[in-house]
Amino acid sequence: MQIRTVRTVCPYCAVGCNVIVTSDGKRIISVVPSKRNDINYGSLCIKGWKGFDAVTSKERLKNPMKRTERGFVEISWEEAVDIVVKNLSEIKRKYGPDALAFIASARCTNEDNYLMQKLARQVFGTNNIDHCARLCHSPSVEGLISTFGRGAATTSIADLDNAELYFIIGTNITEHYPILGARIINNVMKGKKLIVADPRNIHIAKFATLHLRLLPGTDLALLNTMANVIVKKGLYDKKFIEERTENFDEYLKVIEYYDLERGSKITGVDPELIEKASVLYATSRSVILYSLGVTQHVQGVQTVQAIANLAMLTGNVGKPGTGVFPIRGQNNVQGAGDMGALCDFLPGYVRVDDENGRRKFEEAWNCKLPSKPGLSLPEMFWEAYKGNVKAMYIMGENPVISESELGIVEEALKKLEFLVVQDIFMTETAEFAHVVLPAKSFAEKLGTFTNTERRIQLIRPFLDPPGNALDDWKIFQLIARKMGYDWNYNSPEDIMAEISKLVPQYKGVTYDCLSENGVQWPVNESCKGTEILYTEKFARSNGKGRFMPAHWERPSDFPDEEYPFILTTGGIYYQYTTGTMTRKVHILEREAPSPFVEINPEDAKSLGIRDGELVTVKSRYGELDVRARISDSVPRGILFIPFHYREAPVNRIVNPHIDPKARTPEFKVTAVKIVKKVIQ
Amino acid sequence: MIYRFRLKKENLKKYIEWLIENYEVWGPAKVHGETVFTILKSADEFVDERTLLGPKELLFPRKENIFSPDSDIKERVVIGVRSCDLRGYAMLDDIFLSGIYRDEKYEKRRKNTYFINFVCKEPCEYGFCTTFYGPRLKDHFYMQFMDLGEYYLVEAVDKKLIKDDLFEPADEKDLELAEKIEKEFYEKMKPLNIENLHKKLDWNNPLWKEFAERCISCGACNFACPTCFCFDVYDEGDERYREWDSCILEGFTRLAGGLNPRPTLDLRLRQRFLHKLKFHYENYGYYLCTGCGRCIEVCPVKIDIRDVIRSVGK
Repeated sequence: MQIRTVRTVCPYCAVGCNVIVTSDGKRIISVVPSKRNDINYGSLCIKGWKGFDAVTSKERLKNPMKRTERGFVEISWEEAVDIVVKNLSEIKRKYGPDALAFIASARCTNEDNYLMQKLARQVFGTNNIDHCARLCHSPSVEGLISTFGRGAATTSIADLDNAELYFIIGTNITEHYPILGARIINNVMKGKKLIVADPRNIHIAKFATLHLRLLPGTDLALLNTMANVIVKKGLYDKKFIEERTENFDEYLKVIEYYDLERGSKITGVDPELIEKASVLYATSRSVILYSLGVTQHVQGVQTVQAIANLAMLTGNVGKPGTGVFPIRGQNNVQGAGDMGALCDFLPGYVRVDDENGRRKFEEAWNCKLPSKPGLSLPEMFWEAYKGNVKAMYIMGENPVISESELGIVEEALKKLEFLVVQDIFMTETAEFAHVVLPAKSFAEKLGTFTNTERRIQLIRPFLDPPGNALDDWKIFQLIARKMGYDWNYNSPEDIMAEISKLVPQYKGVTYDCLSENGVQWPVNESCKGTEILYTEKFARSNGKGRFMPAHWERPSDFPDEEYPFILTTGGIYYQYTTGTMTRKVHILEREAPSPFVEINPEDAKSLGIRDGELVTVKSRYGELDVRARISDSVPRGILFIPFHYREAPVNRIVNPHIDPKARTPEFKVTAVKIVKKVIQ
Repeated sequence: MIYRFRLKKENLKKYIEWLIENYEVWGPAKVHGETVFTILKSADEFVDERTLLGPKELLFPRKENIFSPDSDIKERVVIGVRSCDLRGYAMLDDIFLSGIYRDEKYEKRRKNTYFINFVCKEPCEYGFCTTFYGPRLKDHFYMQFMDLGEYYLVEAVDKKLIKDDLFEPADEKDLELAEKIEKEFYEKMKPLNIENLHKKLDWNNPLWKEFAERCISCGACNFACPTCFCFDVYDEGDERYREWDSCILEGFTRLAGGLNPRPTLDLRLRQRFLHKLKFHYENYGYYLCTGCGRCIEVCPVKIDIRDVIRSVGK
């Protein structure tokens, strides 16, 4: 029995709470939150306290497996790598590199993601590499790069304490990012102001100075209206706009349309409330925090841009206590994007069609790289469904539950000639695989995660890996070597050394300097990070912030007589994404064991639906059965279903329309009807 | 009978080395910049610092397979535990070891674990131990170290862990000095008034609702508490687990049919505070709290049990 104690990072949300864990290699003896003030100040949410045990589950994958007529049988690593290499190279030879698709993972380390995209691009020659950021914050990457120059939070968790006002839009912060939510609560208790824009009566709304219960899918109209009010009242920062931004006149032309009356009509929010919120935001040192309520729309990119516009309009960016803070959902979704696990970006957000940018990688990797953007995550499944994508390699992702249009995802997976799934558990997706590869979890490996404030942090192993599970990066190396590429990484540190050479944001990063506090990118040669972005200039090529105005359009799927309700989706505190981990933790599962549809008491009454009754929710795309939960946390006309449960995979029925630029589906607005389930 | 010794500070390291040679030794050590309880491999690792959490896991594991044989429980020493934590473990004993049923696993660990508690020199930010038992215990300790400047005053209930060549007898002056230091500590940390608290506490205290607004149901107050003993039992395959539970969680009291006698957070928070400051007193004759302040420190929104105590008589 070898007792070990290490500092590591919680593997759930992207707040990146630090934890000191003691274990004997097999089980976890203690979990102690870090006292560091800049992230979790001695606290953790229930997933931090309880959720680590998920990886000690007996259901962990222990050996590679292949599908046979008798079901899955365990095989050696040698055989597994042989099968993978043989099939992928055969398919590439027969159909070309773009018949392959790779799905990386926001749950895995930077080093794992970097090597997976390198495998896809260098070894197999395709840009068909993407990950679940496509389903959440791709619009933030696009939206913030186009306005500010960098696709990440402009400020830091610790700096939130310097703000006077928080504007929370489209994020159920206490439920999804509890420790960040708690920080906001503490600040509000000290007298800071809070504006919440959310259709639901979420927990943080109890503390709101103003709660704007807008209709789902009208965020852009609300933001434009606020800008209109601010300009009309002369509350905008003329000096900041003049010195540091461009395209302001175009912006004025667009927002002019959104007077209070019109804005109120579109959003369903009382004009007086909008006016008050606008004044409060413009006259305080304000931070805007948002997440998927903003991004998961057809106009996701434009809504993110509207947030950036509002911040520039009032000079609320680039100074302490201000900024735009997209709260990332998964432990390393920021890092996976930074590492270029995206179909349109190389590591460090170099666009694949940028010839100069590409050259650096071609030289470093000694190969010719494809210049055409690859398939995005949803497109991969459509193309597989149509028969154009023939093989997929999926790491740490469970698209059978998480993707939209589930009907076709399963069909698409069945049509594949070859599917590799590399995971820690036998997921719903792995059931479709030809080969399943067992990976180490966060608890068994060394590497880095980058949290929602761009902080690159070290994770350290504290458990023995189950059976013959390997590091994800090691598996990619086995495959690359078998393919004839001379990859020679001895540890994740070697991979980070390469990353720090190629990715300017990660310049100078070494494991030594990450040891205790991590560092926030962009990092300089001497490993000093950046807490607040854009203090002097923006990161666009001319150093200016750019106003990117857009008109609001009706969501792609809107209620009508046949489908009178708006269905919106989200997560709940005790569960996490598709529940692959949290549903294996007794206490977490006990707290939230089953799916439900939230319906307003008035709506329930008029439809004769009782609490706990089985109902059918139907959209234009599908239907599912789920129990009703009568609750005034949703207003009339709106339904809410959590997305964690295989028993009611809500993504099967949501709106499949995607944002044209970021290609993120509009999960948050689907027109539905709800009927009592008739049991035959 | 309490034996009293002096241990020169310069000999502490030698003493810990001796302990490590003979026992499995746990104590506070700095790991990647943070002080936590862990196994000590050398005396150099030991730091006399209050940690965020006490080592409750060593008696009452956070999750354990209760069908497994407990052959791995060997004699061990835990050095550097704070008096507030240790006093709390004495309360756990009343739960696990008294009455008709004795918890064998707990008992085995308890018997094999020797705690050496350190008396805090200065009040901590959230602690209020002077309200209950203070930084220096009068009883319920095994071996107690108190910093008297050049040396520690060591109080021990038996001589098993006394290494003769390092310890010398203490005298009356040491005791006087200890009492003086203790008195100064009480001056710095004024005790709260708990007279008849269990009788005066209001069932409908407005604080429950106030706390419930902020609470994010993390369970930290329970997990950090040296006296919280509630657990859940469940099966996973052919194994049966006992795991730390939290009365703040909805599932803690949910009945099989779905009915919940404490359906809302305010009622669950009320249960937590009234159990500690009323019901336990009524059943055992003492409050289930040692004033360690850990529940406040680990609370993401700083719900403060001292507010409950102070609210009485207002």
